[in-house]
Amino acid sequence: MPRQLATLEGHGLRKASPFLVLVSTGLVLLVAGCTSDPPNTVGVGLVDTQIEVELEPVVSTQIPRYTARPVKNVEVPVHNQYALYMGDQEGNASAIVVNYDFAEAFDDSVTIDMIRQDNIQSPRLRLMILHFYQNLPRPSDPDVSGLQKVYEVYQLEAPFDSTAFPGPIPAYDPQPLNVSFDPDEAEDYLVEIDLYNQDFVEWVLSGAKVGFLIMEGDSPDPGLIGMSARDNKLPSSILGGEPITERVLGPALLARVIDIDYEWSIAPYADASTFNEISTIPAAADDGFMVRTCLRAYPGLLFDYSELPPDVFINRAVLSVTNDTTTAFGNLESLVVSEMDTIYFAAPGDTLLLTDLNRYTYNITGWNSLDPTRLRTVEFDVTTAVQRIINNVYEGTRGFMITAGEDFYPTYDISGTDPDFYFIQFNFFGTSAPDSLRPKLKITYSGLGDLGGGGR
Amino acid sequence: MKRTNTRMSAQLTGIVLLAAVALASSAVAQTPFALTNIGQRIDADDARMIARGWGMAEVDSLHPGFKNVASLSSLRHVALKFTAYGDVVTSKDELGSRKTYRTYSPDIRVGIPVIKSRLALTAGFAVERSTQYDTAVGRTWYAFDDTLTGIEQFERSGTLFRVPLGAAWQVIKGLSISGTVNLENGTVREDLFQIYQTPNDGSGKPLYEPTGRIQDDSYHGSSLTWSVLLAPFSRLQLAAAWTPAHDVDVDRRLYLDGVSARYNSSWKMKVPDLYRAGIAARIAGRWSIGGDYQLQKYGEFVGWDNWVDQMEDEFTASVGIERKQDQVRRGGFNNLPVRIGASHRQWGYLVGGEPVIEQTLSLGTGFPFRANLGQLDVAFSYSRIGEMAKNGMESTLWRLTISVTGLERWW
Repeated sequence: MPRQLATLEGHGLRKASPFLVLVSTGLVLLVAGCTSDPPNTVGVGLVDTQIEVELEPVVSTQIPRYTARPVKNVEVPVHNQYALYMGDQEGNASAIVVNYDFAEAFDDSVTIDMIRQDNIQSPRLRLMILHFYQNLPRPSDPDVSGLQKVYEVYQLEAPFDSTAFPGPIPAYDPQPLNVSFDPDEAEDYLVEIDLYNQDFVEWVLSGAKVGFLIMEGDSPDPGLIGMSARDNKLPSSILGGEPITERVLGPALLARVIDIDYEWSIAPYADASTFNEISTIPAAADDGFMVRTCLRAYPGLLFDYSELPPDVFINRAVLSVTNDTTTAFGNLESLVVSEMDTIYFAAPGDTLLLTDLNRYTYNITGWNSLDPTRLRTVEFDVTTAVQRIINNVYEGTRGFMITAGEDFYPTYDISGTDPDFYFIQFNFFGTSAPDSLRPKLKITYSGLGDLGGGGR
Repeated sequence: MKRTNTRMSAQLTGIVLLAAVALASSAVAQTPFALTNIGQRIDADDARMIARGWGMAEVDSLHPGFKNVASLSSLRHVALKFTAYGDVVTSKDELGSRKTYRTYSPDIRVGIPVIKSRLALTAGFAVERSTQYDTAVGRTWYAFDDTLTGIEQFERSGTLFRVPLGAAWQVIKGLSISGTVNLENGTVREDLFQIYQTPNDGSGKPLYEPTGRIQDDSYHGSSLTWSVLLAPFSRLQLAAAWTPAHDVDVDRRLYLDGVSARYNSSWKMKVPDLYRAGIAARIAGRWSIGGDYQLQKYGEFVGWDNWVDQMEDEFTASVGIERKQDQVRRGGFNNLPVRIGASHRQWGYLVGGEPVIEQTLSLGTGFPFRANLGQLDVAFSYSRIGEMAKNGMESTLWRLTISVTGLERWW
């Protein structure tokens, strides 16, 4: 059999060279470099497409676990918030308290010898209304912007304790300190409440610390109204970006010193909203749930997944909640949905620190710039979260927290103000509401069915 | 010694280049007939065998064939062979047509003479069956109040391959036998994805996540092949091989993409006996004729129930003629081998309730390396697979086959 070995060796046939190898390689490369037509229907007759991957909708409206957590930001207590609130709305009521230290009231222009009743003119307490509230339509006349309020000023029996709020209104002398306030005289964003000369001179000459209470009188327009606080670092919140010329952004005592023709302004050393009434956080999901900022309150919902078969793929899961626009109020705000282990749900009412909210939640989705007075039903795509939950990716059980756009959810933290600033309240219908209003988790899933299908 | 190393490195460079190109395939679809069942048979033939239609009765020690391991008994050099395919397939059915390209490497073999011209060992890798095709069809679904539109994509891909470990022995002059243990393995994956393109969020991102159903089958088994090569006369060679029926274990893993649960199952596939025979005869001068036949009675297949009703005996008959290369000085192209062949195959399963017939015409040549220490062979073939009237679809296939054989004296 090896006979051909001898016959072939040693002859001068032109031999294959690396060139031929390269040419051949090039031919194969030519084919490899060609692009096939994209897949189409050719051959589809050989595929059993009746596989049991069908979309099955499930609606879960049962919420076996619910929480509503007041969330506390220890870095910005109430007396350090940038805004002050007065009035009442939907179970929330607040007045403004301000402390002045008259020993520290003098500036380079004013000396104590100038403090005489005949030398002091137009003493008044000035507040600066936040731009948002200045632009709110009056309930009494929706064609006109700017809530009309009647302001009353009282002297506290003692300067207030900054740590007391939210809390009851401190004791005060019921004798009003201000001249009767005519709401029609309020100019633009500035509210100037006239005080009496004699009182002003006495306060200044006493060199004492004096606390004042500013509360709402019998106003034409109901509702909470926000003012700039002494700590406000966002002057744009007052005039919507236009430059502010006033030296003191918070409540200021103003008076004209006649001798030197000087407009004297005295800044407070402390101010706060009392929030002496705060709307009750619903204790059960039946009663509804709220997302509230300024005094944060965020709900947590755990839906019932028992109607879902095991080992299915979640094509889409939508958390749908409906806001009661007749009771919700406040500025635009983001709404954010995050996952949170239900071990942190705790009992409704238990305070959660903001730093812990950051630690315990994993952001899923959200919407920006939602108007609580116009937002009806909002849907959140929580597909990935439900996929994880159904697949038991996590230890424990995870529910959904609905929050505002906190700093640690950067995608939804687009406004210039943190949730500490505006008092906003979304009131969502609970599980006892009619079908169309109650919270629901709408899940579309796929299962393997009888495990059939595929190539025949 | 230095020249030998240079020659060998050129051959090996060629082999490596071809391997790199063939394995780095970017276009993988083959005929849709391979989309189902056990897939398309891939012959372990080199370009020379494809061109001339036979390979079982091969006796050339300088140009060894691995189709019949018994023919390796005449080896005097270490032989390395690599084969690459480049396919252009045009397929059509009543719904449309599609052109696809594919490159792949079905066969890599090495043969080592233990006793020159008497005893040789062989090992390698040979693709036995291949399934590689994808489809896409538009569909509509409904969920809640949404009407979803999108496409359903199906892709089936994978190979069944064997690792033959064999020995060939020349018992007496003119009679060689061989035994081969084939380690059979493979995977076949089916991906079915439903992609919901609408509704979307306005930026184009679909609201509904696609559903993917994935099925992975892995095949494990072994078989034996016995073969014989007879050369009773100098002009005539006969060959036969038998691979007894054997079991292949199949482990199936089925799951949804994105879901951790797996559904595992196992079954056995009883692969029928494979019979092969070949003949070659030198008829005059440089001219030889020959033919191969192989039969595997898939009608007796036992295994996946969904397939059983569709199985059909698979057979292949091929014939051809070859003008062997010559060594005449200044012979030019006249020294080149010329090979022409034809084959007729019935696939191992029905499509559209009818047998699938594949008919092929082929043409090829080859170029020896210097000192005949190797060979580059090329074949062009044209095949028609199936018939629209019977099978509901048909494919035409143009194939470029390139084989590189390298020889070296290692001891």
